[in-house]
Amino acid sequence: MRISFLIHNAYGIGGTIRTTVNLAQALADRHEVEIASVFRHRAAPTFSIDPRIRLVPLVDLRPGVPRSDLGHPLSGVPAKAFPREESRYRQYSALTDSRVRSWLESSRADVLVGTRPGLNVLLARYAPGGAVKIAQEHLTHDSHSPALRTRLRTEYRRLDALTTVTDEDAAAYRRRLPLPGVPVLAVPDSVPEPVLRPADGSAKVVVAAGRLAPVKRYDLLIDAFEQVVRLHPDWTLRIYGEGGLRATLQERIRRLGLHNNVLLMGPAAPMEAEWVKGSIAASSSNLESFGVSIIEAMRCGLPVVSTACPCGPPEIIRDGVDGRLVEPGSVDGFAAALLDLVGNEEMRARMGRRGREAAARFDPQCVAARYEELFARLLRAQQGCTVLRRLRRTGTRAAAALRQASSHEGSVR
Amino acid sequence: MISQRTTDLLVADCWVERSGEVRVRVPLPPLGTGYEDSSGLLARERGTGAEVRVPFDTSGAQARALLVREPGLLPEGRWDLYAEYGSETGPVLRRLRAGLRDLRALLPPLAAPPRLPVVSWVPYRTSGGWLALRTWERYGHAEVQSVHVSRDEFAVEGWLLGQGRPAPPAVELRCRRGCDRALPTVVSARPAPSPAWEGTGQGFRSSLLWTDLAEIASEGEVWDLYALPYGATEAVRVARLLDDIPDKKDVYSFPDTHVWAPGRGPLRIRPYYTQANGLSVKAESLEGI
Repeated sequence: MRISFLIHNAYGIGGTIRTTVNLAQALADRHEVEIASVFRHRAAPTFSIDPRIRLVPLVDLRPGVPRSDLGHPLSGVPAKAFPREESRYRQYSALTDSRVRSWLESSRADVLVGTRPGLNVLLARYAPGGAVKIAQEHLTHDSHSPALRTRLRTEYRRLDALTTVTDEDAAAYRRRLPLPGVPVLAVPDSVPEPVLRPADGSAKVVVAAGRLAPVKRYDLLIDAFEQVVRLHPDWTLRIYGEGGLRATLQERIRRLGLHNNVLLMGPAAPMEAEWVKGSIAASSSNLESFGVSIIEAMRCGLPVVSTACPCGPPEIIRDGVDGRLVEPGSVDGFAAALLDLVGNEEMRARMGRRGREAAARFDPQCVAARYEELFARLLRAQQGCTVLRRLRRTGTRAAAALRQASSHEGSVR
Repeated sequence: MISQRTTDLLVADCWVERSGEVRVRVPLPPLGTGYEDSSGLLARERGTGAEVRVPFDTSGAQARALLVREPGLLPEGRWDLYAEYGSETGPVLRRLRAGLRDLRALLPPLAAPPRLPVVSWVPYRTSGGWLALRTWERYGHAEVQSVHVSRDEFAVEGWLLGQGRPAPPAVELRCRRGCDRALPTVVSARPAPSPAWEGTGQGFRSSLLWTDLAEIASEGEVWDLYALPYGATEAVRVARLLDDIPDKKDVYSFPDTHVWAPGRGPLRIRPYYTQANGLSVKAESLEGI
């Protein structure tokens, strides 16, 4: 199969980029894979991309390179095709419209995959008739504005399938944004097997990772950890990530006297080396559209204490088996779950082991196999349709020829 | 024919062993280069430009280089890491990107008891994504274990390295900028953090009242903590060096306190880790805060 992905910017850092690269890499073992990146802002992608994958930048934002698009007259003209209801609308323009459109129209791919709502809309409109058109939702239905949802309701009808990363979000789409004839199914994001030896559960360190943003509820995590420190003063909590709440969280740490035990570590890449330093992972979010971090931690052998927030965590963690699920927003609940694990090294090791086994289902090979199955099924259906159409067309032509022939014959007569 | 694919980034993974040695897995040579007898890992010190070379071990599937942690090899500082390959036109030097860094062996509690001189090497990722090594080398050292700040009091618990002293060290704050003022603290002995540390040094708890500092400190001053081993004349810096965190300044955030400096008004006093991870206290004016 020839498979092409359409992504906002394959050169940066982010969950969608990482998971697309993982998937593309796994598919490249058996297929011809291409990633079209609407934007390029640096020479090489941050995540190294397998040389078997063709990377096609559409708009080059680097200054001073031979074919730079910086200052292109069309880049100042607002986009028409890219939906204005999309959160990244301001970054798009008549130039991106035209580049994406001509890339799509000239594409010879069997399967085209869009990775965000705005690009999915372009894909639905301009992808060639014979190609299978798939839209990926990496966030959630509920996270989009009502205006965007209304827009997607009509645009997405031209798709062949829509994939979400969780069952819960797939159900939300089916319920609230019905797309007649377009199957909606959940295929999770993937996380590759770690290179480093897994954690052994002995370090007295709890690890959390994510933007320092309100939705992550690090305030709750810090409050819960205070209860841990009261009983286990030799434990530390390391929070990796950067964001607007840094000063506020620091103030909270100081006020609670946790400055020896709670550390704001700053950004870390790759996280793998940091997960393996811990023996418990914590995720205190109010909302996780998926939970790549949770899976990363599990693959590194850490049991995860997480809120049972929508959408990802409850579909990833089995409470009491490979981690703990706690009611969102509950400091005491979170502290109790942490304390259970802090006080029991054997339990940490056991849950960590079980989690490592269970998280193997998110291996890029497994996820790629699910996509392959979907692609093949849709491609067969598509080819079926094409054959029918061709038959019908041939049939019409044959009929016309017959008619013509008979009239000709008639004239002879 | 040499073709330098400049966009190819050479990503190196590294491991710190329990013995403290740093093992670097070197990327495959870029197009047009190869391993030669002369090729190896190059560490270049920022600032001085001093260079240290270690040969590649190419016996395995992927080349490795081993930096054996010993005093004198990489003096205290920051070292950028490069790979030097051979090519038809001579050696090709490429700076290494930071890949995975397995630093678990550096996490406290340390497996091996600390010894003098303290040689601490921490591989890290620079803000630009390059692989570098932060090194410390101290012939006298007092390791911070915890810092306690209350409204009235500032206390530090630590471990002074060095054997055979009959009494705990003296600990004092020294004004950094060209004045010879020093402020003694009240010191008591503490037990070793683990039996393995027994005999490698002395545990201490040092405390002082903020008001005592306010008596003599002025705004804008920095006071550094030093420990003076019993009976010795040379003081050693109180710092936190024995772990995996190369830059503690922004990672550890200690509470501050407001005290009245007699005759000079209110002062805001705050302990912090310096760029070299030493423990210091800063006095600032409260006005404008």
